[in-house]
Amino acid sequence: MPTAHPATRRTARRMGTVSLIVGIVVVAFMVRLVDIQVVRASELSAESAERRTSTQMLWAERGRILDRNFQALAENADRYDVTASPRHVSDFRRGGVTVSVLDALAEIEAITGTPAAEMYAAVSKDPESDFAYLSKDATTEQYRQVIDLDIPWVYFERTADRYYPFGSTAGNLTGMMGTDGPLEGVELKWDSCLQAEHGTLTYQHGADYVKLPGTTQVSTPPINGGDVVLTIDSDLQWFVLQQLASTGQSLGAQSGSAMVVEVKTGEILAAADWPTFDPNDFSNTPQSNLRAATFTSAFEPGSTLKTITMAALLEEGLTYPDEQFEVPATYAIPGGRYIRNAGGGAAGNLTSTGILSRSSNTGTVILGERISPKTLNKYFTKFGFGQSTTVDFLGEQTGYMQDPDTIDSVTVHTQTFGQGMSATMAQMASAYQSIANGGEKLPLRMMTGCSQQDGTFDAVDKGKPERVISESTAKTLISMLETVPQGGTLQYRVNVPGYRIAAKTGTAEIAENGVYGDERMISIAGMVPADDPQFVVVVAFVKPQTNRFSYAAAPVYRIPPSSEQPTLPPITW
Amino acid sequence: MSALAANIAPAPRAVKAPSVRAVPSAKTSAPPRISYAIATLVGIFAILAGQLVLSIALGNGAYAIQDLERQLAERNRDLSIVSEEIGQMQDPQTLATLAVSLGMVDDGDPAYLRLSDAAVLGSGQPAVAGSTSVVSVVPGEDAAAVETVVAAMAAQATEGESMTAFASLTEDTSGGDAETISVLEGVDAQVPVVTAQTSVAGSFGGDLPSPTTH
Repeated sequence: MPTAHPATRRTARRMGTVSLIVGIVVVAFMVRLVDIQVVRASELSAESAERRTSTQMLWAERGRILDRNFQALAENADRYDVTASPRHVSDFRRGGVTVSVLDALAEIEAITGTPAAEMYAAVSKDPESDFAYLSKDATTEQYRQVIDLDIPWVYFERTADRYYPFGSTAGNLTGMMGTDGPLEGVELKWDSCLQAEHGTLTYQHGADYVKLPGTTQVSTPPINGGDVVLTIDSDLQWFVLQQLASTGQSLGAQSGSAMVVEVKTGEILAAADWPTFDPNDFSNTPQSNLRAATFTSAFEPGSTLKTITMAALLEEGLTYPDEQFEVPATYAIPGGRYIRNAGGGAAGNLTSTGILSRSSNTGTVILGERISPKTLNKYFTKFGFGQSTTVDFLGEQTGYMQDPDTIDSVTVHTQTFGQGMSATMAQMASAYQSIANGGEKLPLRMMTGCSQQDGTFDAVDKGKPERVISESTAKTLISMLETVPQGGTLQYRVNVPGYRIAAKTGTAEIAENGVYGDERMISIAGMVPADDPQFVVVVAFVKPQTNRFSYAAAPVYRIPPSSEQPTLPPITW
Repeated sequence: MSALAANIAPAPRAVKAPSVRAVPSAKTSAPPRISYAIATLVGIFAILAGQLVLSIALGNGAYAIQDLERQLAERNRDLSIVSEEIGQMQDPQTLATLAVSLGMVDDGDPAYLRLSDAAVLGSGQPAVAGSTSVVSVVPGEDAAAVETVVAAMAAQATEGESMTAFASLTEDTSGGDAETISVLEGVDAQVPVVTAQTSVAGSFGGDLPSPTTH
């Protein structure tokens, strides 16, 4: 090869330099590429996605609470919080007219009712902030009206409000929602069925925040809550509540409660408490009203429990309906104490039926001496006393029974007529259901199940029926109870033409500060119609003033009247 | 292809091939025809235009979707207003108050006829007008609130007005373009609109319905 021409060498040098520069540039780009594509890849793509991506909440609805006819006792209502950006709050032009801040706030006040001064204070508290509440819980109609005002610095936040269409009718059972979640009743007890989980939707948007087609992605699907289906009949519940309120007011009672149970299913149709509260607005309600007393308060039941004592005696073969007694007016029990009756009619020549029908304390104690405390306790337990019912309502009481091994010498006698032990209305209703259902106790139920949004229905286990007393004992007992409205303590008091009613009254003395005073709790527990019991009704009033005897009106049921007159066991002899 | 194949095909064996032969002169290719270039360019532009049209359509769709979503939200608001009203009217307490305000009374002493011997069970006394009243069950409850609802409903019933929420359903809340409105007319048509009925009394006591039977 000949020696390269100087010009050629220069060219080669230049080529070399250029190649070097190109090489350096390429390497620099390579480094940058690797840096962007590999080293900071996730960070950068996240940043880019963040700029283009928005997240939207997908609302999930909390489940409703339905009655047995699927009428909503609790549902959701949309509410809106009106908010503002104080940084941007200023006078603005609308339709060629300048609107001042105060004028705008006055317009909002006219719609939502929140005082303009209060809203002004909210926006002027921190003028540099970007967020302030103007008015909370505006209804949809108010929300639309505020939107129509066309105020540039007003924004809205959607909130879910719980709404109880039937108000106070079933407030004691549904409970209510507070700002942070369920507070009482079914809302809290069956929250696991009702609760909803909001979902999220992510999407990429353009400059005007319109979703770019094909970029929407449900990152978390919303899960609507299930509907809780109760066994309550809200019309009946309302009727019972009305009767409680009107009777309670005329009695001057402190409170009243009632429960209606369907005999053949053990389903609670009504569980009403008076006075009650409106779950839509309970801020001024005293705490004592915010409860379902039928489950949560245990009381000394008094004479309605004599039916249970009689059931035990009959089942054990220790007496029979026509057995004759010369019942004394007072009866001495060990320890120098005396058992007395409420009235003269509860003594004299009475049959076992008469003792129950005239509600004789002395007669019941004499009969009760035939059964050992242990056996009696066994029957009380079988009937469901001393334990929570299968409803297992929130805060349900178990009541109190003394241990038969250590029971004191007075209570062993008084518990036969329902003093010295305590029970809830629900327990009493369950016990009477057992008798009405031919001696077979069905688990008490208030919730049918949870109706999931996907169409499945999670039924609550119905439980197993449990035989408490024989069918013949139950029949005998019902006919004995039927004498109460015919000739016993309820004579002519509970009289529904064409219906045979079997019921037992109770007037329990209320112990306060350790002594029994003048105050009473009156109650009736019974079943209709007596020839084929369909419903068990338990009614009680606490501290009635105008009348302290144990009669209260039993609600009327629209069922076919019985046609035959019963042959009832004699009360006296 | 066939021309090329012919060019490179070996000479027939019968003729002895010369050991050295001239390299065939490279066949000068014809200058590319302008039509190919035009076709390619048209193709490219057609693809680009198609893409543009597609993306415009998609973009339009995005706006249509947004508009429909907004209208769906408005309809849901209508629904929530109306179901709240329905719930309020289903409340037994409101119903009873309404019934009492219309003069209905509760007969607490029903009587029955026994078919076997025609006996009247119960007194059979008619209920006394004005004997029923609805009792407040919540102490200190604002009775005026229920009265207001009842009064408003009674007024609607007598004046034959539709409920405000139902009435608002007839209003167009969309504000969208003509296309989406025409789509929504079908939806609107399915929403029941309560029209004013001044009197329904005429439908009672008139002629019996006479359906055509075959």
